[in-house]
Amino acid sequence: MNLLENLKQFKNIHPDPGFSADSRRRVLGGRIRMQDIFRANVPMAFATLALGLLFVFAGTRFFTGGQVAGIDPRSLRAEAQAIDIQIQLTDLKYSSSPNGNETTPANISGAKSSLNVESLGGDEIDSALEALSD
Amino acid sequence: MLEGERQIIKQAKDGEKDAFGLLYDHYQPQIYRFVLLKVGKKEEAEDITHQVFLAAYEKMGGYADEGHPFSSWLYEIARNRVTDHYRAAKADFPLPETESEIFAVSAGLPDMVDEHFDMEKVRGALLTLRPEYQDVIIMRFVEELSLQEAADNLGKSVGAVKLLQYRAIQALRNIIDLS
Repeated sequence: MNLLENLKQFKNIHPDPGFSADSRRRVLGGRIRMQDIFRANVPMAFATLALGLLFVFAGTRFFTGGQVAGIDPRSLRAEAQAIDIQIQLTDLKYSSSPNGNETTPANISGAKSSLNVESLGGDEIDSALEALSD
Repeated sequence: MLEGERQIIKQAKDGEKDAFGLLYDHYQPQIYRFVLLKVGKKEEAEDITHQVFLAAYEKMGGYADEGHPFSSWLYEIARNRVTDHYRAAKADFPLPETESEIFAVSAGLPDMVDEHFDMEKVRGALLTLRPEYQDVIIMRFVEELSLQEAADNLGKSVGAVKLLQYRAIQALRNIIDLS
């Protein structure tokens, strides 16, 4: 056997012409390359971008020129201030009882002094203190 | 190498389909043979060859001419695809069954039964070789590329290719003798 001659014979192998034609057609026409998309669609991309910007601009003009501009700045300020006050009040409420349900001796003594202890019984005092602590 | 190849490559890079079509027509048969002799089955060779050119077409815009022949880029894609093919099949380079139809389409092959039998033996032995031995044998003795071309395609020096082809032929002879 002449090995090298046999190897040379393999060069006579050719792909099936039907396969080659079909493959060629599918390669060249089947898929669109990214660079082709970019190249072909640059004008379209610019046009879309310009249209989008136009819509954004027109929309902004519509809102600023219509509804938003029609609101009274004074009422807006008053509303904003009212919100601030509510926040402050809420903060104050939390600040007044920072320890939640804890009852300190000072609170108890303060509560006792504000009650008419003489006229109350022991149970009544306890329930009153509980109510205070709640 | 295709005549006026640099210009054709440039046009193909710029998205000219006809230019890539010329590259396809010129290189597809040799890439097909390369793949077929490595995978052994016609359908698989066709599928892989198609994938090679599809990938080449899609990546053509990013192709950088670094002085190597265009075919080396195609061979590299083909080698990777063949590797992926075997990896996907989880096959450890088995010896595929002989497909006589491969030779049925080969014009000019002698009709002699003995020679046909020899061809089958060589082809079967080639399939059992290490991938780099297959590559160098196909490039040097099937495609008859020059040492320099084979070296460019394989990313090796001319000296390394000489040594590699010697070892590859020895290995091929040993397998054939044993069979």
